[in-house]
Amino acid sequence: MKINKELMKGSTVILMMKQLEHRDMYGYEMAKRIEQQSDGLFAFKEGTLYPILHMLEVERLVEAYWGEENGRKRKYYKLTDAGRRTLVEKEREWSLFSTTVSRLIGEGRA
Amino acid sequence: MTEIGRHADVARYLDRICAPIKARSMHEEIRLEMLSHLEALAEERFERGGCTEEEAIQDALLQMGDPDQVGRQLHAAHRPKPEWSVIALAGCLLLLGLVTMFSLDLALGGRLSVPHKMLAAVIGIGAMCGLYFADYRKLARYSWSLYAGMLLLLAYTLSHGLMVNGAKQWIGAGAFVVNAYAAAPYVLLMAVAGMLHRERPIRAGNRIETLGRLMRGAAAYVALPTCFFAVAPAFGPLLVYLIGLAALLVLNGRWKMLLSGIGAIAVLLLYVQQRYNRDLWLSIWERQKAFFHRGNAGDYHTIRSLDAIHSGGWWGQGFGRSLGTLPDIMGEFTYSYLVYSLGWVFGVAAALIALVFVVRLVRMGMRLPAGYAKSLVICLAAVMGVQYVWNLLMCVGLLPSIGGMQLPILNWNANTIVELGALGFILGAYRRKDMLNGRSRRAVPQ
Repeated sequence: MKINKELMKGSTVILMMKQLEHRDMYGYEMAKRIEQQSDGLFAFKEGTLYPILHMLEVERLVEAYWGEENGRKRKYYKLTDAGRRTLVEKEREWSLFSTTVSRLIGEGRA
Repeated sequence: MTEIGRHADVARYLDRICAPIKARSMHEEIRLEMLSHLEALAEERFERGGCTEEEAIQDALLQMGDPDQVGRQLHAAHRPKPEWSVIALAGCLLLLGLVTMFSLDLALGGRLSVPHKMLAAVIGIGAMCGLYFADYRKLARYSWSLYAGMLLLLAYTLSHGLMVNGAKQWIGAGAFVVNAYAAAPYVLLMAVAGMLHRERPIRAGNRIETLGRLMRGAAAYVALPTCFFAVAPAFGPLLVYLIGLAALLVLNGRWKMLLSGIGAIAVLLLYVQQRYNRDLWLSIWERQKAFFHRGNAGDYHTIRSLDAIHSGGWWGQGFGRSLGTLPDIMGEFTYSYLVYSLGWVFGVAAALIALVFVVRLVRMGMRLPAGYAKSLVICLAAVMGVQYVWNLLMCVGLLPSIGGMQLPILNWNANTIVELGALGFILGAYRRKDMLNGRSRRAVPQ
């Protein structure tokens, strides 16, 4: 089964921020990990990650720096303190949302 | 795999991403980042086997998605961000300036040179618009020239300038008479912000170099400008300059220089107090009381100003009502006259607009990441803020009246051009905050 695009939209930001929680990553790495962790369910056009990352950088929720890995230049992203606070908030918001949706759907079925 | 950056389709793809992004200085970085992603994708595809290099590249491009859409979204992240609240408040101050000018013209029986003032405001607005769209970072390179040029102008003013009330601060420039000393804090601080920005970091533990820089800085940033201001004399601009400089030093982490500067000034003040005025604290207290209990305490200017403000009443004595008893009606005490003619309500509203303007300017600066732009915005906001706050408090008698403490932007004269120019410059610096390639401020990878 494939997930509807519109449904994905609301959660991409939190998924990407969550990836950065424990270590700095570059865009490709984040896309791959999200894909792997979701067993290939969350595969998206990878170019669309960058506008989100750049917006987060502009809002200073993440910081970026250039580094090198295996002789390749990579732009790494790092969660800022403000970004960490926002992530906690977003996680709380998301769990409220998802439990409520499941509950309502569950009620509908019963 | 071979260099895929040279592949025609890849190059076209990157061009299409960059096409909608107006912030040109971002293009290179975005191309690099996208290319690095494409390379990784193509490599991964190729290593999985079963395809040629060419097919792997085409696959990678497909996997990245619609370049036009990505470009449009990236443009949204990096588009110019005008600070409308500050622009609107500056507009309000300009309108107040217009009202002030016509009111003063009536009060002075048409002796005001309205066309000159209008011309200054129009040129100022032009300078503001021009500098708003200019790239503020180019100024950093010319900081030393700007600094030297301004000091030369101050020196020229001292030797050839016009003397008014015992102070040589003015020079004639065509139809205008410019107060070079009132313009100096703006120009010098813009230069010093650039000079501090361009100083190379010193290796830790190099004491001789550290000391050398402290001495050079003390001479260039503090001592030399202070001498000029003191000789003129122009104590108002001196105070404005020193407060703006303190803000710059804090922002650049120059605590040593700041603390030694404050120490030196404190010693100087103590000496002056011992020598001239032993009852400094008493006189400050008298001043605070004078606003409500008008007596003969305080100086002539303050008494006149307080009289004018008290007799204004809630709704004022009338637009353009003449008031012969108030000195410096076209300069330092314009605000008192405004309150006299248009009333306390108007006075409070005008003061609030000015104060909100300053607060918004400072907040605009604080939203910027540490760096040259932030230094510029904060130090110029300090320059204007000190003048507004001091002028307002001085008109109501709570601070001593110092020549040169006028209301920027509101009080139209040739210097309005400098004030509006400076404002345009920092609005432009803020506007570009998300349009700049960040590599210069980026740390090394961990």
